Amino acid sequence: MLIGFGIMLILGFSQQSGPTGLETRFGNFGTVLFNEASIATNTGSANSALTGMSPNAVIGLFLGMFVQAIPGADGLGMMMMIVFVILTLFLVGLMVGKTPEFMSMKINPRDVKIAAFVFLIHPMIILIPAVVAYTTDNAQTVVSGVSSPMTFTQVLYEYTSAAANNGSDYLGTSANTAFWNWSTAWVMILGRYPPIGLMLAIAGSFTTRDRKEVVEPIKTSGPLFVGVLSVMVFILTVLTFFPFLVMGPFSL
Amino acid sequence: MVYQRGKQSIFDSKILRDSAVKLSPLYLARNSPVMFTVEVAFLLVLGIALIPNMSSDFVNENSLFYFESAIILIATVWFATFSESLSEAQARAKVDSLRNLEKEVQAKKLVGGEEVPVASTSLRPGDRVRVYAGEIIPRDGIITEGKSFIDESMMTGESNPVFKEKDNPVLGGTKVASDKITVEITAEAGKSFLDEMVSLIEGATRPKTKNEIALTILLAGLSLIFITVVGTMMFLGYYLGYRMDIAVLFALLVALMPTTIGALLPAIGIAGINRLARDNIVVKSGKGVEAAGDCDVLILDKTGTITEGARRAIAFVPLEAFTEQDIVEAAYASSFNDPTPEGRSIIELANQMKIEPSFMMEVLAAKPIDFNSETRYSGIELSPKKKLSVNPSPSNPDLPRTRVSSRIEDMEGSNIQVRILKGAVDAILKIASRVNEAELKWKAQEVSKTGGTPLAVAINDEVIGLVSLKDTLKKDIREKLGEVHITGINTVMITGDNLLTARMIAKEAGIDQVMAEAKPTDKLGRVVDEQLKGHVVGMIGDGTNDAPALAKADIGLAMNRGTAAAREAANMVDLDSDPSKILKAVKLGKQLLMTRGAITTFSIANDIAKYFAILPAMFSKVNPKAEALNLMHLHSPESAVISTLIFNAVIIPFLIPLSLKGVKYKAEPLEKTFVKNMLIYGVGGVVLPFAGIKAIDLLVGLFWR
Repeated sequence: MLIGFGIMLILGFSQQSGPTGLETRFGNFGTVLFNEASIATNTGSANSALTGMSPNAVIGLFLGMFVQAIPGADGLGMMMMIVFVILTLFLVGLMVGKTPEFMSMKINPRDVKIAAFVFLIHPMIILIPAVVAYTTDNAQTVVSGVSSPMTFTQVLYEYTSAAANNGSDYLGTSANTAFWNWSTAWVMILGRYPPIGLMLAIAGSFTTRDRKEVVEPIKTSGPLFVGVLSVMVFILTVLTFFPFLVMGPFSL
Repeated sequence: MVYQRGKQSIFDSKILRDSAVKLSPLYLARNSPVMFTVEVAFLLVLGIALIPNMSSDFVNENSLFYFESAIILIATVWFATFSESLSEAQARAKVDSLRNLEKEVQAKKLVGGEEVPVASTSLRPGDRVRVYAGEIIPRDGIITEGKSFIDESMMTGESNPVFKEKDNPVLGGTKVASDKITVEITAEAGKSFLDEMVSLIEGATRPKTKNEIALTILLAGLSLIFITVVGTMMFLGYYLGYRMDIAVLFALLVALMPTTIGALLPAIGIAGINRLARDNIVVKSGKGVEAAGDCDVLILDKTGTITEGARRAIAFVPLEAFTEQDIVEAAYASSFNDPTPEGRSIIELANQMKIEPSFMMEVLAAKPIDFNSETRYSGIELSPKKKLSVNPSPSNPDLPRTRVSSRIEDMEGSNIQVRILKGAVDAILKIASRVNEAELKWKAQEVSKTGGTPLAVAINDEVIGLVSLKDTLKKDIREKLGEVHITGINTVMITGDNLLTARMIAKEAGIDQVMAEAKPTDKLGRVVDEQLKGHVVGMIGDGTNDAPALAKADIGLAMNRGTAAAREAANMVDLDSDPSKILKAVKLGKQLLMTRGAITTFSIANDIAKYFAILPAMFSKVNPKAEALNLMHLHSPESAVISTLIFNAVIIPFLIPLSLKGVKYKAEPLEKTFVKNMLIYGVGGVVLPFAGIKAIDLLVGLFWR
């Protein structure tokens, strides 16, 4: 079910994109599909240079990394999805007048707190380094000295890719400087280990919890929950980065 | 927007003052981080308005725009504090109306049989006072003499006066409607039930519940994310050459933060307790209300909750050797001196069947045998006949002589003492020797199968037959339990009846499980069992032996007429002493959670439209491509920002009635509720702001300079 949801998400992205630049053996559709799939699943491999891709395709890549919750992804995919599920269940539970439960276990304030932290870390380690890169002039020097939507897209991509454990790159070889290497390294560490630690904390507290023998009020399967979950994922991640997508790839 | 209840106006000066006091940043920082952020934004925008030209990069609108923004921002905060004050005022109104009752009254204290007028406050426990019709009972106590109807409407809302007699408890502040009674005071001054209740309601400014804490954390998390977004946007925008105005950035922040739910959260919590208070249920903690919403197992007493509690005779069952006439006559006679509703119902049924014992004269002169817990039967003992054989058939020669009447005559004639008794089958079996035991037991079982309770009737040691007593189901209980069932709550009926009877009644009322032949102490065991299985258990109790179970249960609803121990242990007290109220508590608890969830969803869904209103305003001046985002085609960038802020602010007062009354609740499967609420508050939350902001923009556009 959840994997089906992942595929649906990827297809959604690939439909809105169309590459303008590079021709490959796969043709436009094949190239984009490969890139979207590989980046959304956190593998980071690419079969074309990103600079050649259309703005829409790049937005698709960004979305995949912002969400980074494709189950089965190489990295935090399923874990992130579970955090999304917890937050969604929290709201859904309230909507039907029940204290929210996940797998027949009550969701308590601590879980929500940790889940909120996981979501807070992601924008922070993408946006704050980007600001630092600009204020220290590193962004401007590395990419042709002008501040255009293109350079911003490249800078944003660098940190998004690092934060989402991706590894694909948009800056090119010119970014092989101490600042970029160090900052990217730090973002990678912060993007991977603190969320894993926090998620382990959630998992740990769930293992000690009594599991009820009661049927869950809201089933976590079926189109209804998946639909709501998708909307929640969209709102929680995409809305966060919406202005930056507008400033970056959207304005290319 | 105008929300009025009774005579209480929303523009009561007290509410206004209170909501103004709550604007204090210190108060907000502690209670509502979201509103605190809005207030900080207000102060900064106000600062810019007062000191223009502080920065050419981030300040580039005229100061009127800043003043307007500042006013709307502080209005947003005020709407939030106002909603909180309003719901608190409603709680206070209930307390005040109760306080008025507690005014000092003149009491007529009995000193050595003489009535001495004293002030009610000087009474001590143990004092006796006499209260006449039309007077107010000075304090809680127990009637020691007399009987009367008592008007308890001010306390319980029950408009019919309640009949009370010797040994019944009465409440201070209630009015004697008829006759006169003598009351022995049991409560200390300031410790009466009324005082208890006032302090309970005033305690409505309560600690936050678990769900509330979790929601506050989620909202704070969202706010922090948006603060990060807007903060970094300011810098990045600057480097990318957008001239972003700081007030517009603040407007974006305030618009994105979940201000609607942040503003209404405290009001929703207090309103939940209020609504229960309006139904005369006093809640001791907000936790209880929430637990009520979660409840999935209800343990209900049969008597009083599911049934009326007054068993009535519905049929007479004679044994093989007798006719119906026999059993009716015997039962009539045995119940003649029985003042209980059961006894009276037997007489009534006999009257309906137009059967009266032919030995009526003897019955009238008979000596009653009272029920006692050892013998467990009651009846009459016929007095020995004086003018014995003068007239063989003295009472009424027209009446047909049955075996019972002839037998009684024979016995009387031979001067044997005649006792006509009725009681539980096993109690009668103990004293009866001339009976076909198997037949009696079989017939008793037949009665049980129909949901009745069998009562055996015997003359001396010969069993005549059975009376089938049945408790009538409460009105609407089937529908009420049906609703409960739909929402996925399991019901368990506890009763002292045998399994057959219990099953029958359960089937009739629509109860899922029964616990038959249960002692009151079995309740605690059942509560613990269900909790171990992970259920949230609700139960009702009124006796002292219910107290441990009430304390253990997640929702313990004690009856007002119950013992103090029960009231102490429970987390809710029903003033009307109507056990079926627990269903209402469950409903209100669910409503409380739903209201929170619905407004949170609404608040988050609003963000989509707000992005599309403010982002074009920020970007399109410099970046023509951003024009594609301008879906709403608002009047001007400035009016877009102002309209969004106005929408953000006025949506709060518009939702105050909803948060005070609660989201509409209908008993239906959870899945259905979920879809419905998602459509209304989720999809509605996406669509409404588009329409709302556009409408406000059109309006603002008319006056735009």
